[in-house]
Amino acid sequence: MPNLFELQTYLEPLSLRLVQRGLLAAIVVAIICGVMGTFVVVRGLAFLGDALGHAVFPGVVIAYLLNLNLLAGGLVAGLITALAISLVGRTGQVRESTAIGIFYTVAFAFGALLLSRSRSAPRALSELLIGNVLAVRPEDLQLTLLIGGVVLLLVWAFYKELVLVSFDPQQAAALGRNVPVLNGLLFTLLALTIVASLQTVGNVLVVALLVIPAATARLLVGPLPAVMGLAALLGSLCTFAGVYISYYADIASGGAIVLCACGVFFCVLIVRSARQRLHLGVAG
Amino acid sequence: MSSVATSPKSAGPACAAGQPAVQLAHVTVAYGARVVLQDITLELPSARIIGLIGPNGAGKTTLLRSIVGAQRVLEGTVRVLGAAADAVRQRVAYVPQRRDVDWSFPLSVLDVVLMGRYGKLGLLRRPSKQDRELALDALKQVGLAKRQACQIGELSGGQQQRVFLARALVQDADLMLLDEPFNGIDTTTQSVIFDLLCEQRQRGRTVLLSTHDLHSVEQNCDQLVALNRRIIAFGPVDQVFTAPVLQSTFGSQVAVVGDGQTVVTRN
Amino acid sequence: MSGVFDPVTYLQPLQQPFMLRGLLAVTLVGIVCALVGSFVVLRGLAFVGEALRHALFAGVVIAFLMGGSLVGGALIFALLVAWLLGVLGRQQGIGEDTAIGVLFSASFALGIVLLNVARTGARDLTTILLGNVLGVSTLDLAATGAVVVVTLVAVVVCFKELVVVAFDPALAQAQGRSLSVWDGLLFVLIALALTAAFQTVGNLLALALLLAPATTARLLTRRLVPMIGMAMLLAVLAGVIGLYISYWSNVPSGPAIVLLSGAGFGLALLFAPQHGVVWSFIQRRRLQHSRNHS
Repeated sequence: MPNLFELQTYLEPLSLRLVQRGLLAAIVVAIICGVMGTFVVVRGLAFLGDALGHAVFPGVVIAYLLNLNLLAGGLVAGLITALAISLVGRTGQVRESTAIGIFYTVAFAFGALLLSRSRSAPRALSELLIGNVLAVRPEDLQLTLLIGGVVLLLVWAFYKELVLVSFDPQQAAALGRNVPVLNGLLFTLLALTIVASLQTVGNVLVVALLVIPAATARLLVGPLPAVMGLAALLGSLCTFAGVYISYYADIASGGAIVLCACGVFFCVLIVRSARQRLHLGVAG
Repeated sequence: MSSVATSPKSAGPACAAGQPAVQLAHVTVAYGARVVLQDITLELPSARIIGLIGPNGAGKTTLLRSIVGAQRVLEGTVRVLGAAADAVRQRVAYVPQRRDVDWSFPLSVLDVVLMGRYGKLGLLRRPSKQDRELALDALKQVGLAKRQACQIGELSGGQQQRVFLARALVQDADLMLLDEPFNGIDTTTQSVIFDLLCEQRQRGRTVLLSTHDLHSVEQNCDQLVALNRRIIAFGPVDQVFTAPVLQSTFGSQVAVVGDGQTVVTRN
Repeated sequence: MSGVFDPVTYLQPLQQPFMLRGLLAVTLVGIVCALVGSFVVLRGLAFVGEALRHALFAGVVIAFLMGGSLVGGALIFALLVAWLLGVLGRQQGIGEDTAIGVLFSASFALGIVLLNVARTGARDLTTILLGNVLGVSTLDLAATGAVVVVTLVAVVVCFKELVVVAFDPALAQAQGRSLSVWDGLLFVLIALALTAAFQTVGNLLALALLLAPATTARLLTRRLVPMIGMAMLLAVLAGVIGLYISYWSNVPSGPAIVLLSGAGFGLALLFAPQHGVVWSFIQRRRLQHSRNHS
């Protein structure tokens, strides 16, 4: 058990290249997840985020089997699934949530079937599912930084359009904005974020990093940019803590990060409702 | 508007026999910290058609749900047909807003009307042959007996509203509560519905319906409740349907033009 | 391998006891998933199913670590999450969608970390997520059978209540039914169905078996009872055919079953009479055609 009050406890892991790289990648991921997660929470897209996280799987497997870039494969699969979901939703015959549930499970089944042909199946599968911060290679870090930069740049450039289409699509249409294109942009950004997160938190837990920090931030502050900033900050802090826990306790980094974020969320929630009750008590 | 004009709307409260249909005393309802209804005290006479008017967000649906016992009240008491709401559920029929329902649900028109009988059936019991006959009879009354086997989504908006009315009729209730029954339906359907409601009134039943179509309530209701979180006014139509009352109910949303001609502009 | 039309082709695998047990298992699971799934689809509760599935994952891991009954652990944790879902969803400023997202990712992360602590390998994770129908024991089969009986009885007894609450909750409340009681029952049934399914198709793919057959059936019929019956038939068919394919071509059974259900859904979406994409397209063309002529 490491001594929590000794500086060496915190510095020791940082001396390792492996940890430096992993931590940097994880924090970039936490920041873009905080920004994109705010859109997810505001628009109620948690299920879509979750589904995209799973749907990138067959793309990653195909890329893995063909020795192509894993993340590019994942991005293509994620975008195809998002497109299929929105097309089926538009026929009006099937609820969108049902379509999401069917498409991602089928996509995942397809990926699992493909992977079963490969010998290294279980290990590769679990690596993708739950991520491993310490397995980030230099070229992965470069790609994560690149994706992170692109996502933040696009959000900054299209900020008012994205907010408008999230808050009031009818108004956006009335103002002459192309709503399907803007929604497509939002989903693409979401898919990019998910792909960037694959390595660090894995594809089943990425939705946690999208939803939990943003939901926590939303309990604490009102304005949208403040929610984004706070979510990015909270996500980074939890990532930091999670990586250390994962280093010392030797558990999956993704799980540790998410459990930290969860702890913060429930603390905030409990304190807030206690204060509300106090207020009501005083007022009544 | 057809035969409705001959209805005895001149009958004042003096003719009201027996106990009041609904008694609310100091009822307050809140969602969290937001007060939706405040200190509502109201006594609705029986055997009347009563209109409930107010702008969007005035608490019309909440008031109906409180009467039917589906909404917990924070303070005050609700008495329905002289008893607690829970005790007389079987004698109260409730028609929710049409838009709250998924019309692509795989049910036939007759299935939906039969739901009106479910309140009287215990666990495990299926609708009997007699229930089916009653349901078919109610469908005949609303003129939709021929469409009984259709999937409900195939009907037009007005027909769907009539199916809901049939479902309320089949309950054979003494008090009928209708939430926005005229939303998005044509005037023909509206007069069909009012004819049926007048028939219910003649049999001594009470009808309370919420709407923001002021024109139809002025013509067809006996009494009006003007609601905007609080009771603004309650009484015979000609006393409530006045410029000052409407203005304090709807605020700036209403403009009174000339002699009793009212234009409501929403938002 | 003998010919496609030779009955021996289909009978020969049955001589293996594990195959016989597997077939029985997929049949039972298909029935229960389609039955409960019909209500999930009608009410649009896919995301609740997703949340309960993750909760089951954590429950299974905990039960595994404590050496208790897997089914029992899964159920207890799922019920806990269902209850939390109700509490959190009512909190202001969170929203049901977000509440579900937080809860299911939290329970899944818990499951992953515990699995890590237990130092069991990646193979266990894969088995839990993707299932292994050929590893079904007689005891598992009995438990699945019990789940099917309980679910069938519950749905038959409460059929009209489940339908009213699904179609028109406002009326149900006016008739004096507590929505939280009936929602609670449905959540328990979903948890039971997912528990039954996790051995055969795995935790991750169980959701597909819940949604795909019922959605396909809904595209094909406009009546409730035929819809449920057809959903059951489709689910059992996908299970049996998927299992045979898995036996012959040595692919994992769970993904094979799910891909078949998905294919069925795709076909129905395209070609279903009246609802299908192709049908609507033809009708639109016809309408345009007649309008051009008049």
